[in-house]
Amino acid sequence: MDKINTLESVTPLSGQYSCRKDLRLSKWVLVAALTHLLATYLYRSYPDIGTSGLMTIRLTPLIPFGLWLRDLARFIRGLDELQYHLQLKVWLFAAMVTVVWGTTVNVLNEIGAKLDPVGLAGALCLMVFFWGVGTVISVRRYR
Amino acid sequence: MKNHLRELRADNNWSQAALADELGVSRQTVNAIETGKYDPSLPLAFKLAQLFEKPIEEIFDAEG
Repeated sequence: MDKINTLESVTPLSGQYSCRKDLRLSKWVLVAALTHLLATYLYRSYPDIGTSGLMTIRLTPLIPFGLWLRDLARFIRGLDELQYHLQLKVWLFAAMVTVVWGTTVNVLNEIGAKLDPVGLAGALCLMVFFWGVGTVISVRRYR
Repeated sequence: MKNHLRELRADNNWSQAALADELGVSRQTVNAIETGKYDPSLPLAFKLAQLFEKPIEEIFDAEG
């Protein structure tokens, strides 16, 4: 029988945590974060690089991010049926709250509030945060 | 939907983890089915029926 993926294997302090599995799942998001930092540094250091150069620098982090999404989708597909359904709900919840959050900030900025707009990195951080909230709630409910 | 999974598991002296291993699911799934928080998919219900050698309707009570 195929070994199923479990959330506990990638959750520190769960008792079944596997650093190897966690690294295998999150290596591309770490690369994406590093690439984003490097891209931000280059973008600020060389503003005269030209439009195509800037576009390349700004869009490069999306490649490792896409690879992380692929690995995440594979991991979720390998979960058992309860955790699979829960994770679909949790990601939907995180995506919807992020959209509502971003829209609210935009609307408030339009009427004069001077809030920081939610960029790509901000949206990703918000989604991961709300994914964490949703996962904690679902793990507590289905302990 | 009510079910008799807890009783059947106890009759076989299986822990939730042991049953989960047999079914290829997590222990949380077995617990959620037993407590009625989650209704299993049809393939998983058939696996349970096969494992306990009982018809599905003797394990799950659709009226419950």
